[in-house]
Amino acid sequence: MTFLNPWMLAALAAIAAPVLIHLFSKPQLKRIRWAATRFLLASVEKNRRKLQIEDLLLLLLRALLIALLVLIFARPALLSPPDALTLSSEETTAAILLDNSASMGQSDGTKTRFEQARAGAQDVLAKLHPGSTCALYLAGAQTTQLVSKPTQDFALLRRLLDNAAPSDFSSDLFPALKAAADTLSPAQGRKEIFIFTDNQALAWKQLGNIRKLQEQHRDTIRFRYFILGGDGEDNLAITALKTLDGTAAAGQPLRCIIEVTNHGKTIAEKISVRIAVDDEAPQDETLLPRIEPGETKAVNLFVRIRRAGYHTLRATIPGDRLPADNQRAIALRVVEQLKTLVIDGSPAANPAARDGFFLRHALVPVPPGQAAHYYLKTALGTPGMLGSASLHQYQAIFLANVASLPRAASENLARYVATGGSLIIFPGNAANPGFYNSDPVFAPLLPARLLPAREAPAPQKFLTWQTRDYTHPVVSLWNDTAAGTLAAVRVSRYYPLELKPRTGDTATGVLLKYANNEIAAAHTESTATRGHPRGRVVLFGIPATTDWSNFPVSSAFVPLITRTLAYATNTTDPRRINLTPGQPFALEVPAEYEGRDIAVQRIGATGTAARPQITGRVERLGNTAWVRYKDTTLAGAYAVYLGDATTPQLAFAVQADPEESALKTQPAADIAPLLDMLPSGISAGSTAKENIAVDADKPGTELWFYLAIAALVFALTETGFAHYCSRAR
Amino acid sequence: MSEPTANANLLDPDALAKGENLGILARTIIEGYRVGNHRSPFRGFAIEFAQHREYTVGDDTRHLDWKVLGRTDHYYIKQYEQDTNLTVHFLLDGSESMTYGSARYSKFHYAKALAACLAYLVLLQRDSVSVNLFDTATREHIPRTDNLGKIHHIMNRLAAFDATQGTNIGAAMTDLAKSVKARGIVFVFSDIFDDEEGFLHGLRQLRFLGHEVVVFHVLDHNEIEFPLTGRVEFLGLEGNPTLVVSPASIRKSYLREMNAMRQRIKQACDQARFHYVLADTAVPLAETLSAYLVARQENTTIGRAPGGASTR
Repeated sequence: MTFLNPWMLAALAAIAAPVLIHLFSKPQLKRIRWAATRFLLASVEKNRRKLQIEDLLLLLLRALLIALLVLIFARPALLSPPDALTLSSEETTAAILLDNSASMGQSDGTKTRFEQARAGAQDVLAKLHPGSTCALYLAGAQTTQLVSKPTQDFALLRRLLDNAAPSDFSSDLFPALKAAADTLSPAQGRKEIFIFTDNQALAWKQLGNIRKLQEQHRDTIRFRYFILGGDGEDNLAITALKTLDGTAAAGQPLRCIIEVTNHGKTIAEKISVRIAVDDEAPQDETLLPRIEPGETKAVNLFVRIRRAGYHTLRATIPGDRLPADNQRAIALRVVEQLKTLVIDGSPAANPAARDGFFLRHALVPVPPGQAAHYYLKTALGTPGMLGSASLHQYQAIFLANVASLPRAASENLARYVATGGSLIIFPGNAANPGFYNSDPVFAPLLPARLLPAREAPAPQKFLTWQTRDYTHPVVSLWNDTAAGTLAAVRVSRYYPLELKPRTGDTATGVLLKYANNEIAAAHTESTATRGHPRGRVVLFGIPATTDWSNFPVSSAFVPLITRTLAYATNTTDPRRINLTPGQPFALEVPAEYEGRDIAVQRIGATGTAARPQITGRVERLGNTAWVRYKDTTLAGAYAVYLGDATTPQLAFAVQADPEESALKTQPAADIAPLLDMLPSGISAGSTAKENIAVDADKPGTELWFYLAIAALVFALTETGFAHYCSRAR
Repeated sequence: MSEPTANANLLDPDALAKGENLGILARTIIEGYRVGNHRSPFRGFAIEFAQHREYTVGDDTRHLDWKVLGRTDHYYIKQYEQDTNLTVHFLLDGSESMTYGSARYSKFHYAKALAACLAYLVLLQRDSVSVNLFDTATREHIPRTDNLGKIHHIMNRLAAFDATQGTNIGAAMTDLAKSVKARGIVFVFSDIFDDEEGFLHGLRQLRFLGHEVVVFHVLDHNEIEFPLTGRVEFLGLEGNPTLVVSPASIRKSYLREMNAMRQRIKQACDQARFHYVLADTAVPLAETLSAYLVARQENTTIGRAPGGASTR
């Protein structure tokens, strides 16, 4: 035990006060000539011992009361274990790690955990022995090495600490711990790593590796953890924001799904959910009446984006102590209109018997009177016209049961795809697999080879598409059973597909499988980092007619065609404009933008970040001009202005890991072996700064409260007892 | 407290006014030396017929009931009740302990006044009184007299007595028992703080001799209730030590001891069918006296049978 105010112990001399009072407070004597002395003598004899004991007890109580008061002011505290947090009095090579994951942005009402960590780190710097060196890291999913090598320039470290900004990174302590341990390894003498974290479970996702690392450096490096904040904090978060419809078109209503999760332990009620486009006022709003603890509720909200181009959608809920997840943004590219060409492989007199009949109706699923205003325009054509037609006016071309193509048509199509045009192919009875697999111009466009058509196996004589585990974005919608099922599609005859290996800048992938794991649809993917990307080619193993399957008449037909079209035409990968924190933004723009200033504005930010900040210029790499931006540590919607433009030309969104919102701390039992040096004085909710001392045993639990209670009890006892005694006298 | 001056006029007019109407009648049969208001143990020739008894040789034939002899041929002697006068003995404790008084009067003064009043009443009804003042031994003796004019002499003698010695009440009662042959009433005035055993022994002796004893247990109010507070130095009287005590701390114990003593005295009186009167000096003399006399008259009137009685 120690005393935080040891000088107060001098007040123990005040114990003398009751003793002196006792000695000098003998009352005035009255003198009486008394006859009944006989009775007095007997009574006095009986009473003498009782009085002596009472006096002694009173004296003791008063002395104890004074002693307790003195002790209270002296603030006694239990000492932490001997190896508690003490900074060495010798020179140390140290590394300070600050967890800067999104959850560190949680506030206790006055300070965020990151601010507490920063203050704690400043204190460590202040108390390290002169001559010590120190490195500084920010630990998250990405490690930011503010000072990678230990330095004696503490002024620099302090300045960097002051300027260290929180991020919306996901938590992961291991990369930073490893980097720090590797940096300290070659150093001689005493080595310590100070880790300031809020102990989120995510931070320990590489617990095994952390254990190994500490074990590896057990004898050379001390790992000291400062746990900030507590467990089970209430938090309401937007954990998902996605658009449901395939193609976002200007002026068309766009349905957005927003998922709100209650990570707290109490019921959340009347949560207002809003959605806005770019930095405009919210377009739609709804009220979630109630979310149970641990429950996630999804709401559908609609927006209408007026202009084509890159835009962001921002969903927001009312603020709480962790502001980072009270909003979520996605970026998307909006098209003005989409023109498609459907090539009928075997034109029939009866329109309903044509191979492109179902496709044409699926692409424009509106009454004929409204078709003119619909964003999708569809033209019909024959294989023969492909050779001469100007295909670049179409964003996508459907080949419906085309047997083969003339060389000129194949070459025209190859050019179309090479310059970004999309091709969606439904081979049927008429299709010639030999052409599809071997034509030197057409075959290389396809993601898979067509194996000979086969009947569905007995006894069912039909095959269904996969029923779950949809991984491709086009079909991931059906992971939600509320959206229906693709398993309702029954295929009696099909071309088995054999996926081709990657060739050059073109990769291939599976879009959909059958229930027996055979490939039902495949696609190509351009991996080129320079030049205009190639268009996507999607190949199904069945025709878009009812000859081989019930696909055209199933409920999945229209959404699957729409989503496939959206995927095929959207050559800008959503993942390039929807980033994780720290992931750099890079997007190609027409070459005429080269050299223009890039100004980036984080929508919804405050202060200087609320206005567009020039961050660089459009650079030319090869034949393409690129817009690049690296500072994406904070989640949210970003608008990019090029040159003197007053409206943003590009947009992107940074999305934090929804798991960060859970605020689940790692169970103590799991990390206890790592924290053998964790001082008991560091408890949940404490600030790091309060827990650091130099060259002294660390005071732990303070005892003044218990002493105050004891003093109160003594005071009451003394009062009652004194009253009893005085009454008896 | 201020001790009143040694005033020879100990008579309280108020007390006497009440006492004159009540008078003092002997509750037991007493042996007087002349005819008076009190029953005599002797069956004689007086006026009031009492009973018959068979004639035995030696009886005075003048008392034969001839009418009975004529009717029955049996010899019966007529017996009559005889009234006589009363001698009242006052035994007054003049020890130092009696000088304590927290009220207007000390216990001794209160006892003297009480005795004087009673003596006056006795003399007024033409009975006799004798007075004995004692401390360690009998110090003053006023012989028996039935002359009312002597009351001033009695009061002067009482007033002149200075209480400075210890107590031996047992010896005083024994002396009285030895010196008085005829049965009468003995009024004892004392605080009975010392020699309790001697007092009880004296009480038994007087009872044996047929006296009626009335014990006036004279106590100061402070001695009865012990309401003192603060720290007090008690200066012991009659050779007792000085004590410095907080009275509140021993009040319970003191009262227990005091009440036990009073209870013992009263029990002894009750067993001997004597009258025990607690005389609290804080209570006006007239009240104490009238309460006693009323109680006495009630006891005497109802069947004139002797019996223990106590006041307060």
